Amino acid sequence: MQVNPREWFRNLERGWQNPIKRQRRLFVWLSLIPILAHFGFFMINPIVSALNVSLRKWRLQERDHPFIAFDNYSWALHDDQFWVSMKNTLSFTVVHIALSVILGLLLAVIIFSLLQPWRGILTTAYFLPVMTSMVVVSFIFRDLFSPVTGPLNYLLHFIGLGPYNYLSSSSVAMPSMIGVTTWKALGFYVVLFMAGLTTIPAEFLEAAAIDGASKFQSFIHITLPLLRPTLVYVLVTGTIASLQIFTQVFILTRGGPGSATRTLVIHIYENGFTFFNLGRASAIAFLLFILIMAVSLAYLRVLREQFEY
Amino acid sequence: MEEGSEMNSKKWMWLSVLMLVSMLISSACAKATPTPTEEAGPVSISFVTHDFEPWRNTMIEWIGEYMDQHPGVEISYVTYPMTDMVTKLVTGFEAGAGDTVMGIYGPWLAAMAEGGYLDEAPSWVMDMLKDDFYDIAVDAGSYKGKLVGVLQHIGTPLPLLNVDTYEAAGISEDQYPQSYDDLLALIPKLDKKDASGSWEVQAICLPPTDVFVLIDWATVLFAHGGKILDDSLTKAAFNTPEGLAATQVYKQIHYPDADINLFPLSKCGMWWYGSWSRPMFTAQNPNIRVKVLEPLEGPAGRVHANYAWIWVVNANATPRQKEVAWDFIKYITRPEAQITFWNVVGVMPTRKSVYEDPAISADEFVQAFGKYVNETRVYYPPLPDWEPVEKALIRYLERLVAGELTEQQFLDQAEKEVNSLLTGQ
Repeated sequence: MQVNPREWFRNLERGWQNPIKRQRRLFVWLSLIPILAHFGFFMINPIVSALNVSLRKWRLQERDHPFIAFDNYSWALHDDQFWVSMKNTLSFTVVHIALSVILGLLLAVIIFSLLQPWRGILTTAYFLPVMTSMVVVSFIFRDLFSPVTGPLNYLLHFIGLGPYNYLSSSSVAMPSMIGVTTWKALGFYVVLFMAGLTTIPAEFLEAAAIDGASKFQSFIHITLPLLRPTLVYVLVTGTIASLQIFTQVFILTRGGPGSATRTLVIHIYENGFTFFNLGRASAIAFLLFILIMAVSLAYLRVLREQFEY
Repeated sequence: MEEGSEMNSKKWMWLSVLMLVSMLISSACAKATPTPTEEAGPVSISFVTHDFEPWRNTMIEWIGEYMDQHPGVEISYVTYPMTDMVTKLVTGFEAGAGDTVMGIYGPWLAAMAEGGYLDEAPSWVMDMLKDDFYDIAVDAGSYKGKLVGVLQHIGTPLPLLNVDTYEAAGISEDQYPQSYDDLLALIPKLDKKDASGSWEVQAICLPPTDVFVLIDWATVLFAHGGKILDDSLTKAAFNTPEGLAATQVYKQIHYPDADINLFPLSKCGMWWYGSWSRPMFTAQNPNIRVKVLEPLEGPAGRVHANYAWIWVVNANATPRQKEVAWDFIKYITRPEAQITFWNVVGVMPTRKSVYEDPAISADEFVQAFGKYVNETRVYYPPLPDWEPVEKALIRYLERLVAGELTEQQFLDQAEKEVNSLLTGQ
C-alpha cells in the first residue's frame, strides 16, 4: 500500500479523522480540564484580577472603584518611597546574590574536594537553615541582634568591636538583612553548585593537570565555564527570590529605621494592607513583575550559550 | 459519521475552553455575595480576633457558654496573628464577605466605616454604653456621629517603674518621677555602662521602632500642649514651640539601642506599656517588683496617648446575623466578662460599674490604670486616610531616634510630608 507522506502528516497533525486518536485527544482534553481550571483560578485569575484592580481607584474607604487607566502606575513612578524601595531592593539583590554565588561556589568546591563522611556532614549542616522557616530564622536573629542582651554584640566586644544597633541603625540594618538572608540561603546554593560539579567529567580536569594547568587555572578555564548552566539557574532563581524579599524585613524592621530596609514588596504590602489602597499596591506589584521579567530575560540572554562537552 | 465525531470533539474542546474563560472572567470581575440565612432557622456567625493565648482561651470558653444558652446560634471562631489581622479583614471585605464579628484596632475604624463595611449599632447598644461605659467608649466606637463599635479596651501605656532598678540606683519612693523634668534629672543616676561601653542599666526603655515611637512621641507631645493635626484634620499642627519642646524631651528619654528585655531583668528603670504587660513580665521574672506611675506631668498636664480595641459587626452580614452579632458583643462585654478579662488577660474594663467590684477594685494596677481609662487621649484622629500619615511620622521618628535628624529637621520634614499627604487626599 502506497502512503502519501503529505496526507499522512496532515492526518497526523489533524488527528480528528482517526477514531482512536480522536478519542485519545478527547480524553486528553477532558483530563486537562481540572489542571487547567486549577491553573486558571489560582494563577491566571489573580493576575487578571490584580491587573483589573491596578487600573482602578480601589481603596477600602470607597465602595466604587472607577477605572482610572494608568494613574496608579503614574503615581507609583512619581512616589519617592517607590524609588527608595527600588534602590533598596536592587542593592539588596546585588549584594546578596554576589555574596551567595561567591561563598556558595567556594564552599561547594571545598566540600566537594572532601571525602565522606565530611562531605555529607558539611552539606547537611549548610542545608539545615534552608529547611528552616524564614519566620523562625527572623525571630532567632531578632534575639541575636538585640543590641544589649544579644550574643552577637557580647562576642564582638571580646575583639574590640561594637556594640552595634543591628536593626535600629540606618547604616547597619540593610547589611544585617543581607547577612540573615545569605546565611539562610547559602546551603541551597552550595547544594546546587555541588550538583553542578558532579556533572563535570573528571577526564577534563585530569587532562588539564597532565598539561600542567594549576588547580586555579583548571577552576577558571574548565570548572567555571562548565558550571554555567548551574550559574544561570542560581542567578535567575536567586534574583527572582531576592527581588521579592519580604518576610525577614517584615519581622525584623518593617522597612525601617526610616526607609533604610524598605523593599518593593514591603512597599506593596504597606500600600495594600496598611493604607488600604489596593489599586496602588497592585500597580506596584505589576511594576515589580515587569522588573523581575526583565532581569530574568536579561540573564537568560547573556548566559544562554549552548553547553557541549 | 466520522465528520460528526470530529465536530463533537471540536465542540468539546471549544466548550472546555469557553467554560474556563467564562469562569475566569466571572471570578475576576464578580464579587461574592453573602449567603442569606433563613430568618427562622439557626444562625451561623463567624468571629475573628487577633491571637493572644489567654484571650483566645477565654473567648473559646465564652463562645461555648453563649451557644449553650442560644441553641439556634452557631459561632465559628478564628484568630489571626496581629501582623496578619488587617490583611485578612481587608481581603474579606473586598471579596464582599468577611467575618461577622471582628475585634479591630482603633485606627482602622475610620477607613472601614467610611467604606461602609461596618454595621451601625442598634439603638440599644448606644443605651448600654451611655448607661455603664465610660464616655471614651462612645467616642472610640463612633465615626461621623454613628456608633459602629463597642470599645473592648484601651491600650494606655502608663509608665511602669522597676523598683529594684531604682533601689539599686539609690532612688527612694518619694523621689520617683512625677514629671518629665523629674525623669530627665534621674537619667544620669540610672544610666550605667560597663568598661567596654555596653549598657548595664538603661534609665528608660522606649522601643526605637514601629508604631510605639509614634504613641510615645504623641504622649510627650500631648503633655506639652501640642497636637498632631489641626482641628480640621487637614494640616499638620506639631511644628510649633510646644512640638519642639516635646520632641527635645522625647529625644532625651529615648535610646536608639533601647532594649525592652532589660526591664524584667531589672536592668531598665522604666517602660511605658499597657496593663496586660504584668502577666508578661512576671512570667519572665516572677520576683519583679513593678510600680505603676501616673502619666508624667508636662506643661499641659498629665496626658498619655493610647489606642483602642473595638468590637465591630460586618455590614455584609444578614439581618439575623447582625442581630445575633450585637447580642454576642453584649455578652462578651458584660460586667462579669470584663472582670474575667482583667484577671486572665490583664486588659482594663471599660464599664464604670466593674471598677466598684470588690473582686478587682483593690488591685494596684486596676487603681492606677483605671484612673486613666477615661482621661487619656487616642493618638490617632478619626481620619480614613490616617495610616499613610502615621507611617510617614513613624519613618521620621525612627530617623530622629537613630540620630539621623535633629529635632527641628524632624519637625520640618515630617510636617512637609504630612501636609503633602493630607492635601493629596
